[in-house]
Amino acid sequence: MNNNNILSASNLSIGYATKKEQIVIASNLNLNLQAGKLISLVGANGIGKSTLLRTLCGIQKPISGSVLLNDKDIQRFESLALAQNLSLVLTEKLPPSNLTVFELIALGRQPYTNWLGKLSEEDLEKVHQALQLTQIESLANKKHFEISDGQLQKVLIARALAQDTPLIILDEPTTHLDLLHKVSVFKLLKKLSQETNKCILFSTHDIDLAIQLSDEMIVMTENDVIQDEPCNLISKGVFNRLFKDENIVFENDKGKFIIK
Amino acid sequence: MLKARNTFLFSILSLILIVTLLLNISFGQVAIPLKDVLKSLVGTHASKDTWEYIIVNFRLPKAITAILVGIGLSIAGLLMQTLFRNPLAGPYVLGLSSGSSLGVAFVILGASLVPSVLSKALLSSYGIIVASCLGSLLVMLLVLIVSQRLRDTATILIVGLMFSSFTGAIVSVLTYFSSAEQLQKFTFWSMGNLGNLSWQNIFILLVSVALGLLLSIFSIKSLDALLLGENYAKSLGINLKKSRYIIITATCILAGSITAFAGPIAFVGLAVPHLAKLLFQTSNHKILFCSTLLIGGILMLFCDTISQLPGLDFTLPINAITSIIGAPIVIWLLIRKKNLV
Repeated sequence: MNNNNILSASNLSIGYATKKEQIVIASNLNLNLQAGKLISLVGANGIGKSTLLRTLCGIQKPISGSVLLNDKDIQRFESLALAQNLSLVLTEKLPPSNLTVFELIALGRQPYTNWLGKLSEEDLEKVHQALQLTQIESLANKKHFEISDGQLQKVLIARALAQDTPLIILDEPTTHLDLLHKVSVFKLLKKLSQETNKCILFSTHDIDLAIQLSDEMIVMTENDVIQDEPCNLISKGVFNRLFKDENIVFENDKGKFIIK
Repeated sequence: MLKARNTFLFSILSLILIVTLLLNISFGQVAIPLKDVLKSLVGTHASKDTWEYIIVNFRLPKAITAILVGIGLSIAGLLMQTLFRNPLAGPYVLGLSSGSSLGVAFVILGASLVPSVLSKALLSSYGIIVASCLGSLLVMLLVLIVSQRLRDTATILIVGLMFSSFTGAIVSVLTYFSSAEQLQKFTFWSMGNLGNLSWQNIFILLVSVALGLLLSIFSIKSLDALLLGENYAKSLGINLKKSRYIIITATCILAGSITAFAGPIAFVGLAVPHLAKLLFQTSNHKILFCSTLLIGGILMLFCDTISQLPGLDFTLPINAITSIIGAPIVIWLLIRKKNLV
């Protein structure tokens, strides 16, 4: 067993349990997410990416098997301890408020602050670090609704950084962004995983970008879920099984999808 | 710089609160000079004994009630606006006050249906408070259950309105079967009144409001987390269920006890948090809590002063004044800001 494992799953089955039956979305999953790695999760719409992410975050219980975060079952974490080990960047829109960028990032310190949420010297230090790492110092005093979508995504990533957890999970952080900002968010994530030695897992539909920048990828197809390095996945021909449409073909040489 | 601005605003607001308090006490059917107001407040005797009597037994209790009511309703509004992520939430809009009305209606109008020993207990101030709190709790729980199923916040407000209509209808049915005397008692209660409280009642109100405020202070951290939405709040280690219960309990104690003593008072809970947000340009609940407190006290004292303006030999119902002042404020805020936060 590798000591670098932050999150691991063995023989994991995910899905929903209703009153009458169990709907299994994927079974026999074996995943190992290590520190310092940028890992992307790809798969067609409706294949169960969100279910897998929710199970890996501990929001949803697995049907069988378990998810281990730092060698401890994620379902057995106290909510506060979990918040100190796992931070999230979600797709949902923020409710309207007057929060400034700085205040928003500082909320990432909540798992460490006292009952009134007062920021200590260390908390302020961590917030400034997060601002620096994501290079958004100039936005600090802006209201969060005054900045662009691309900037907001960086702010949310900074918030997750301020939470100071070994694992960050992002749900489709690049949707709604143009190519320029997609690349800049991807590069930021890459930089963060290398510089901070955090494990960063994100789901995405930008497969060709993910292939170029991820250390490892988790590919969900109808039949199985495979985790490997992008080049190995290409040589195995996994990407051709991603979409059922015959008109979409993955060109191994170019490393991207071609429409016939 | 920002801190300096906040300190400045807080000092100004405190000053305004003191001035409004003094004006409120000196105005009324009998005008009392400010000098004598100050004299009787600090304990030395006023020029006339009657003035001192009026101040100690009528004006001061009423002013304190006004402050407590303003503070309590405004904080309840602040809590609900963040909890429901809806700028239009407030104890009145969401039907909490109607819930209280229903509880009080059952007690005042239904007391004759139960044995006299029981009816005496029910009609005591404690009975009315308990009924009022239970009424608002009932509506709050219903609104909360519905809001779990409906993600759309606008719908929650419509549900709140429906609850208001529903409880209103039941109150109508009750009034149909009650005597003229009971009806009069209930009507006076529903117009709102800050003046009828004895010192003992004020003490009960003070304890209830203090308890509600204490619970609110303990909710400040989770309220801040809720600014990011429930899922983020959860991911920050906030125990959502517990926080929600505390916030709801605080709101019910505040809205319930105040409505019991002062009647259903509209718009204060809705308008004051927005004035605070507008003035301080922040969503930080530590700052909002303090500013809402001050502005709530000021606005209620101001409304009460208007309801008993010198030259009028009668007192207007406070509920009418808060609506006349509060409704335009909300409309003005909507037009001015385009989007409320």
